[in-house]
This record gives sequence, structure tokens and C-alpha cells, in this order.
Amino acid sequence: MQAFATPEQAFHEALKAKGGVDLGTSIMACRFNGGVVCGSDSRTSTGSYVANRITDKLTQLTPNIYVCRSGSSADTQILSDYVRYFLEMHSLELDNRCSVYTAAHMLGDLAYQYKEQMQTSFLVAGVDSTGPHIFCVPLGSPVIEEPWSIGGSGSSYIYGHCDATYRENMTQDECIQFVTNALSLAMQRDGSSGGVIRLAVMTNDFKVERRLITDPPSFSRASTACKTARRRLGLLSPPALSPSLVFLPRFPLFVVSAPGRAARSP
Amino acid sequence: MVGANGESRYAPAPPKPSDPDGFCFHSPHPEVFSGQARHHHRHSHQNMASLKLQPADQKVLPKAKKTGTTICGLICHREGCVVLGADTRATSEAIIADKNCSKIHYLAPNIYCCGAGTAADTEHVTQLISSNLKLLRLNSGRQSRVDVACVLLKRHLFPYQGYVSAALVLGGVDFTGPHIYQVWPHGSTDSLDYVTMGSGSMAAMSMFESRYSHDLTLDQCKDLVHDAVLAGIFNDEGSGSNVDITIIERNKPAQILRNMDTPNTRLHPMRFQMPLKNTVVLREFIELHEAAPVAPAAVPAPAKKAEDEERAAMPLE
Amino acid sequence: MSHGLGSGYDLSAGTYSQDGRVFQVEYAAKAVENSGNAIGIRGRDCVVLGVDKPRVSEMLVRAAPKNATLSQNIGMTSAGLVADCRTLANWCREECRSYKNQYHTEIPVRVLSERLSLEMQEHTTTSYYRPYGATVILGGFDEDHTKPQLFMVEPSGKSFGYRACSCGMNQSPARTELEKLDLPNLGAEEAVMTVARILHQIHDESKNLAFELELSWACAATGFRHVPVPPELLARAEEAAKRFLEERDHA
Repeated sequence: MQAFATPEQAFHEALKAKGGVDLGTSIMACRFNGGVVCGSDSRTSTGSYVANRITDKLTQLTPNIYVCRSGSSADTQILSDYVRYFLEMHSLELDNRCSVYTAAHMLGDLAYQYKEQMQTSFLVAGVDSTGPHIFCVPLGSPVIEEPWSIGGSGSSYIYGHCDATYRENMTQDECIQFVTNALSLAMQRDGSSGGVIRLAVMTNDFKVERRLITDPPSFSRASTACKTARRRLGLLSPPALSPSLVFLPRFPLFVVSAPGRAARSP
Repeated sequence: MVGANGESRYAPAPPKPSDPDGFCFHSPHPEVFSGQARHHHRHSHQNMASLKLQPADQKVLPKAKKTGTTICGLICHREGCVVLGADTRATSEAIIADKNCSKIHYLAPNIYCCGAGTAADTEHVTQLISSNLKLLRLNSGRQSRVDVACVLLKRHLFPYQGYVSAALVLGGVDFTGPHIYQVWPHGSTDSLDYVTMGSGSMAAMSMFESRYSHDLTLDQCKDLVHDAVLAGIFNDEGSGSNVDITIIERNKPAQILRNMDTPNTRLHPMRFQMPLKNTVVLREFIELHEAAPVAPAAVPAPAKKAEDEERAAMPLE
Repeated sequence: MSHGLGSGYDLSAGTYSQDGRVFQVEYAAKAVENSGNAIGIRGRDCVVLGVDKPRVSEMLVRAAPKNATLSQNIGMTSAGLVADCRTLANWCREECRSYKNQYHTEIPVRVLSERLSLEMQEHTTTSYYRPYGATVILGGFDEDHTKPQLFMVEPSGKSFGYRACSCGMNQSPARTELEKLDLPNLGAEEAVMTVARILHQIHDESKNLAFELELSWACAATGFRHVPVPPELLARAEEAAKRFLEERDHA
């Protein structure tokens, strides 16, 4: 058996051997002072082929709860479909919004029940009457509450970044920026992650906003050079950068003046 | 189906991820070869000899007929319709089993489905779902919805964990608009504007990726699907023969353009009428035998059947 | 059932009478009216449940408890056939446990009352079952501890939320007393005193049956858990109730 750096990578390789469609993935969720942001890349692969490059890995379980899926596409789709159905029945009986805690545990219980047959790893994020919550439901199906959480094969590359960058009580914009940057970093180092970034922002007033970031900020010289080359070939239209994508200046680890086109070769 | 050595034994266990071959046919428990075997209570040594004698090259399942395929479909946003396309080659290992098979299956009047994978599986899955959709229509008195077809398909495929080998491109138009779904054998689905499946999917996808836009007219869409299938036919060895296209528009019967293009017609048509005296008789020799007791005369076969048999026996090309 | 309209239609819950009644359900309600009284009060941040238990024998050491704790924060009291009440208590406990198992949160009192009412209603629809001869009062707090909850489920399956409710032999006089209360401003101890007083007050003296009071409560002082009222407070409440009755008789 090959040695792997992290359980996520071992998991990803095992899934490839199984021959299913795989969400070799970068997913992330983070709390801020008035809600929660969850995000993912958009790549679905079968072996080395990208089966879908604009996948939506964020599935809405209830109006106020999202789940980020990673692992086998078929397994995570069917589990989240079931949980969505159960939660709908539950909230009808409750006559109220169901709690993120309930949703996460329901998913965890199901995933645990079928853990021999399924390869799933989830992040459940949402807002309920007690505020924003994030639960991590990884492979063996424990259910762990965390202020921020990352998952999927790409997560191995960004633990250090997230540890160094996360702060409590971020504003919504700061949080979106944090998630976007972390996912971009993961997507640029992990071959199984890529495409665009999809976000769901849930706020304490039970509003949900979906965002699509088609041109994630780029950090490494290699990928910037690659992008420049592609742009010259006319394969990539120049990115229209929104102000929210400008890199946080207080972050000391990378020196990037304007993301996406910092190191354009002369 | 019978195994290569006449056995009909199949390994029911799914391949272990740790198995280097990715598939372990005759020994789902590799440890039987090691000393660990004795810890296996109820383990029988009866099969040891046959397992050891099994030549490596026989550890392979007999191949089923596959539709090594190019199938694809796209949404024409401009006119709110859906175009599906497929090649017509069916292969059985290296042999082309059918040169003009049909891979676009009917699910409902407004929903069709292209199938890649094992021919029998795609055929039966689509028939089953088609019949379920019909029952739903009879019960509800409403047009079938594409997402319902998609859910029925994935709910059917998921429990078989990929062993029902059907990779599908599902397309249709319902009151919510045009939809294209990609359905994988393991039961995952994707909803997209344009999808391709089968061994020629990459060739076809290259056409879609370079030429698809939301502004294409229906004619342009049809051309694009046609070209995508052609790309599969000419660049993928599992795909070939002709182009089938089905166009589904809102509130219109689907247009089924079977063999809408036949780019692989015979350049040298078969000529079976050989000129008389074509074969030169070099020597004629007649041997005489004692007459055997006369058997009752066999009923002569109908002339047509004889002709058929003759044709069947005749080598083609 | 005497001879008259619908005669002969009262033997099964599976059959309507000709004027559209299910007599078995009405008889079940009568079974409740033959038993002791139960009272529930929803005061300010508290729920108090009380029941009077007739002393069936002078040799009885202590009457068996009639108030039951169903989950951490929910309790019940009941009137009717004692064995039916206990069966329903066990049924409710099982329901609380399975809910917790499924959703990992405590069952809200309203949801429990709705599920209980479904169970009781089911026993009014087929001849196979005898309707439960019990009325159940459910009281307690939901997991967020914000608001006291009080529900009453009747043998027919009817279930409503109440500020205060009563069932049993003297439910009407009890209700008259309950209506006089200023419930939203009733503190926990005060509510205990009130329940004890009303139960003593409505007790039918003519039958001269000895009885025991059983009181349980859930409030901030108990950490919103449903527990029996402490013996010291119970004694105090009974003493006050008896004093009240004496003063009333003197007056």
C-alpha cells in the first residue's frame, strides 16, 4: 500500500481505484460574526478526466443549511438527497427551522450506517436559531463542530494557511476573502481540484446568497505564467476582478500586488 | 455466460481498492496463498490447486458486448430545445458486433436518452425507466419531467454500485425548459449545458468546448452535435459508422434523425454475382461407389432459406 | 346502553352509531371522569403538575406515583385507568428516546403531544382496540428553555395547548378555580401552593375518601427539569391548603 501524506489523499486514491466518479475536492466552511460562508471548487473527475468542471458541490439541505460534499459523487449525492428529505419532514413536524446540529448528526448517522460501502466526507454549515454553526463529518463519520473546517483532497495543502490566517469575529467580506483565498491555494496545488469557486453565504437573518467566482485569485508564479500564456493564445479572457478579490494586505506570506496578474512575464 | 475455462464462477466481491490490478477475479481473498489461511475458519483447501494452476491470463472476465461509444447532447438555449447525438458502433472486444445499432433510446415523448456502456444494461435500464415514466404519466395525466427521469435512473443505478454498466446522456424538454443530464453508472448525475459520454467523449467534448455558446441556433446546434459525433467516429476506435441525432423541442414530437449522416458507406459495394466460368476447372475426377441403401428423401428446405444460409456463410469483403 | 337510537352500536370503536357517534370513545371519557383529578398549570417560567391519589386501602404504605418524567424536561400527569396511564407513560418515554436518537435533540412538548394524540386516536378507529381510558397532561420545557409548555390529550385523540387544564372526577369545579388565576404572573412556588389548594378544594368530601397529593414541577429552580416537588414544599403546600379550607369553612 502506498503511503499518503494525509487521510484525505489516501481516501482520494482509494476512490480512484474503485472506479467511481470522484469529487477530488477542496471544500471549506468558515464562521464570521454574522453567519457562515461555505465554498468549494467545481471539479468532478473520473480518473484523470474531468467529468464536470462546473459542478455544484454545495447542496442545500434546508433553506438555512448547506452541505459541502466530497468523496464519491454518487454516494454523497444520494446521502444528501435522503437527508434533505428527512429534514423536510422534520421541519414540517417541528413547524420551525431545524437545527444545523440535527442535520449534521442525521448525515453522520447515515454515513456511519453505510461506512463500509460509502466513501463520503461532508461539511455541514448553516444558521439556526442559535446562530451560525459548522460541523465536519469526515470519513469515519464522527460529527465535530468547528469554527472553520476544510475537507477534500485539496485541504491537505492549506491547513497551514488556514491556521495562520483564521481570526475570530471576521466580517462577512473578510470571511469570504479568507475562504476564496484558501480554496484558490488548494485548487492550484491539488490536481483533483480546480475550476471555479462556488460560495454560499448564510447570514443570521436567514438569508442565503450564492456566489460564483470564475476567476479565482492566483498566487504562484507558475500558474500566473500559465494563465498569461493561455491569455495570449486567446484561451482565457482577461479576468474582471471585483474589488472583493483584492488580496488582504495584512497577510504576510505571499507578496502579490494584484492577484491574477502579478507576475506577468516581461 | 461461461468463463474462459468452462467454469461459470464469478467473483461476487467488488474489487478491493488495495488490489494492484484493480480487479481480483479468482481470489477475492489474496491471503489464501499466505500462512494466514489457517486462521480462516471454514476455509476449504479444495480450491487451492485450481487457484494456483490458474494461468494469469485467464483471470479475466469474458467480455460483454460494449457500446464503445460516442454519445453527446446539448441544450439550445436560444430555441429552448435539446439535441442528442450518438454513433452507431457496437463492439465486442476487437470485433465490431453491430455496425448500425441505435443508441438513442426512448424514455418519453419529450425525453430521450443516449446510452454508453454494456449494451444490454443501457437497453434494459432505459426500457425500465421508460415504462415507469409511462405509468407515472397515466397516473398523473401530466407530461413526464426530465428531472424525474434522472432521479429514477440514479435510484436504479446506485444500488448496483456500478455493476449495471450504463453511462447515459439524458435529454428532454418539459414545462420547466430544456435539460441535459449526465448519468454515471455508479448513480451520480450532473446537470449541464452540454455533455458527452463513452469512449469517444473526449473527442466530442473538444468540439463542444471550442464551439458551444448560448447563442447557437438550432441548426448550428445540430451541426455541432453532428461534428462532435463525427469527431468520436473518426478519432475513437470504439466509435464508428453513422451519426444518429434526436432533436426534442417544446410541444412538438421529437425529430428522430436516424442515420442522419453516413460517413462510412462502403466504397466498394459487395458484388456477389461472379461471372460464369470464373473458376477454371483444371481437372475433373468422378469416383464411383457402391450404391448405399436409399434413405427416405429429406424434405427440401424452402428455396429462400437456402439462399439466406448461403449468404450468411459467404465471407463479406 | 338503554334501548334507543344507536342501541347495539356501542360495543366496538370500529362502528359508528346511527347518529354518527363512537360510543366506545365516549365511554373511555367516562372512565376518566370516574377517576381522581389531575391538574396542570403553566405559570411564569414554570409548569406544575398535580394529581390526587385516592387511598384505596388503609393498609397501603404509599400510593404508587402517578406523575411520570418522560424525558429530561418533560413530565406528565394523568387521570383515568391507572394501568392505561402507565402504558401511555412508557409509550411517551419510548417516543422521546427515539426522537432523541433520530434528531439528537430533545423532543418538543408540542411534537410529543401530537404524536401521543395520533397514538390515542388510532385506538379509536378499529374494533381490535379498546380506546385508552386516560387523559394525559404533558408539561415541561423545550430544549431552548424559553417558554413553559402545557398540553392535554384526551381519549378521543384531541390534543390542545393550555395555560391551565384539569381532568378527572371534578374537572369542572377545578376549571372554575383555574380560570380565576392570574397565570402569567404566577411564580413557581406560588403555583405549587395553588395546585395543592385547588386539589384539596375540589375533593369530594361527601365520599369521604382519603387521598394523597402528588405534585411535580419544572422551573428555573429545577434547572428546567421535570422533578417531584420537594417533600418540604409539598408539606407546606398541603398545610396551607388545609388552612385555607378551614378558614373558608369558618367564614
